[in-house]
Amino acid sequence: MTTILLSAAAARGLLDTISVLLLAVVLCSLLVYQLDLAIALLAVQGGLLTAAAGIVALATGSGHGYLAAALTLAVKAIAVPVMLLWVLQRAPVRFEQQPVISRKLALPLAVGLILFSYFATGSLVAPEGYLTANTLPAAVAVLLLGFFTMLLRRKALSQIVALIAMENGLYLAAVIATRGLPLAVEMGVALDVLIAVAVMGWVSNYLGSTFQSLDVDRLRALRG
Amino acid sequence: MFLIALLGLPPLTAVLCRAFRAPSVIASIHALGGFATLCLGLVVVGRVFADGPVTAVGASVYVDQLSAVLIAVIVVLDFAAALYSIGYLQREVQSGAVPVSQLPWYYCGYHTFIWTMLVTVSVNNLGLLWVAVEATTLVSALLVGFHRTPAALEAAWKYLILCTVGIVIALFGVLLTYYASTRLTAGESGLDWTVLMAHAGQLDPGIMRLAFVFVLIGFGTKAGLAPLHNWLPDAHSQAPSPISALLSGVLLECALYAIFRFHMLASIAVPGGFSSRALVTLGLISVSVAVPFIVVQRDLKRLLAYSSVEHVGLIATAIGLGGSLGLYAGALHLFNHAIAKALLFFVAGNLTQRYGTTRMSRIRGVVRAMPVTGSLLLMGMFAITGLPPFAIFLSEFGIVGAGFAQGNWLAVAILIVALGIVFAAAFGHALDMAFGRPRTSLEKLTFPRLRGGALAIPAGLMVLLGVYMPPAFNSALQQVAGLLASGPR
Repeated sequence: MTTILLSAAAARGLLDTISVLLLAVVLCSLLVYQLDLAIALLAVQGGLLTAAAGIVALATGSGHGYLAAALTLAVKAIAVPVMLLWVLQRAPVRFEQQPVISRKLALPLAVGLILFSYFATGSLVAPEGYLTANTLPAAVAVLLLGFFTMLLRRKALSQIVALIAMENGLYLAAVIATRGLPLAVEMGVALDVLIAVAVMGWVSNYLGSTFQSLDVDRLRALRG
Repeated sequence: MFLIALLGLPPLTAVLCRAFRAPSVIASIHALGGFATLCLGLVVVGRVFADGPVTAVGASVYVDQLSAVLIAVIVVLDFAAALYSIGYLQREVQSGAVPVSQLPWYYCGYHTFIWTMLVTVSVNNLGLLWVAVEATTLVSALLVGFHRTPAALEAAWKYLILCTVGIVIALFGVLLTYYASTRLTAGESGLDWTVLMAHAGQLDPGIMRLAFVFVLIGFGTKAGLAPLHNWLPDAHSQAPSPISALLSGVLLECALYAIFRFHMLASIAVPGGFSSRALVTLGLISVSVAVPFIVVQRDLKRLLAYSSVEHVGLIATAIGLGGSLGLYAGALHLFNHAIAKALLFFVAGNLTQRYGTTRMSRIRGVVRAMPVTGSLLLMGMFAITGLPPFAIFLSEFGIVGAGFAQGNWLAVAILIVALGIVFAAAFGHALDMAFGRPRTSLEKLTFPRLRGGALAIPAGLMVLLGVYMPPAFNSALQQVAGLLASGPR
């Protein structure tokens, strides 16, 4: 019943490339301050993850894999960016002002994080299945870079974008380490991501109308 | 059968609450839904403790004794908070803090929130457990921000972002667990609790150790374990009081439940008691970090929130210390903390609405102004600080005793010092509020009787369990302790 359309070796090579590309895109979005561009880069990440899931599906020939790829396309590449653009249209801000630290400082720190991920995960698991020289380190680096980006952002919307990037790193790790999570879990996670973006968009919308800016630095009333 | 009904009822109630407009109709549906959930929940719990674990829908729903304790806590507090919500919201609408049009949303969100917690503790698959925990965050964040004041929105935002980051980290732990298990059981059921537990001894120790670290950080954020508790005092103090009661009393413990599941796996898979030590460490840190904030606190609801950090730490410490005494005391404390904290948040709700503030310096002379609420405030504060004859005294005594039994003198020392300071501080705050001289005269305000009924549930349970331990309850706790010690039987 299952037809395998892609050899394991080819899949390994392609996944390796996609992981590096994803890492590059996430690194770019660390340096991007325009919110619409950041959302576009998020859609690109979604596209790359769809490709990764699709390659695994082609190589394993499992129906589950194709479904997972379709789900990723619908949620990560289309629905989430569209929802965020919708929030952006109603938001009073268009780009990230007054960065916490400058790009000149952020870039070397980010490179440091990437080197750390290669160093830390390189020896963790033996190369097997789709775990190659780049896949797992890149996935962990994406997770860390997403977190790092979050720390550097003041606007609520950019924090959401960074959070989804973190989750993307995790998704890549799931695809390569275990060929995705069980289908029910994957659908649940996708649903959660959708609802999370909707709820966060909704709250940030109210933040916008209450504080007249989506600047989370103003959220300082609650202390002690 | 009952289990399916239990999981189906809250979403049904949620939809019905949204479907009607008249506040009295919605309130009746809401109360009936809460009562039916309580009855079904208690039937399920009774069956599990009488006949062992129950499964439904193939094996995708699995309720064992540990889940049953949590279900009992959820349904009891659900019913109490449901009754309390009605009167609380009536008053909020009267005072203009909440528009009538928002009421259906509140009740709809309330039952959805209960549902996500029930799902959390009854799914078999640890991945779906993760999905359910994230769903609790999303639903309850909307309830935290329900008042839409700047402070409430700030709290909701902080809660959403910090807990979601935490939970993404936990997902990495879940993924590692799946990775460890797919190497053994080539199949999709590799995250099912029953499957994992059957193979727990063969899981790769290195991977499981790492998985537990990620799970502890991730779900620990959600459970409010220090130093990952930053969001907690904001969210728990800004939410409407009945929701605060559920957040502090139940939701934190649902997150602990998730940690305990992975702890049970890790304690079999990773030799050397790694996960126990990690739990004790984080637990003790939480207890110690909460103490100074309790001492200097000026806001009543934040005081209660920091006390939750302390008690979550106590439960984690108890389970980490282990031994039959520690596990028994931990399970008992889970239950005790839930009812005591619910009572106190209800009392805080009454006081906030009466005095129009949560600042303790302005809440004075409660015993004279509101005799019933005032006495319950004193009772609740005495109970939460571990004064006999209330039930928390027994469980805290048991936890310290477990420290002695395990020879963990550092834990014993930290616990005794921390509990002593908290006792003195909370006692002082309580006496000031109860007997202090009021600064301003108060407007006349009487609360409807239903609200008193809501307070009577946790207050009654607290007194009862302090003086008399029903044999069935005792045997249930022993079953839970046995399960935590040895895995499913």
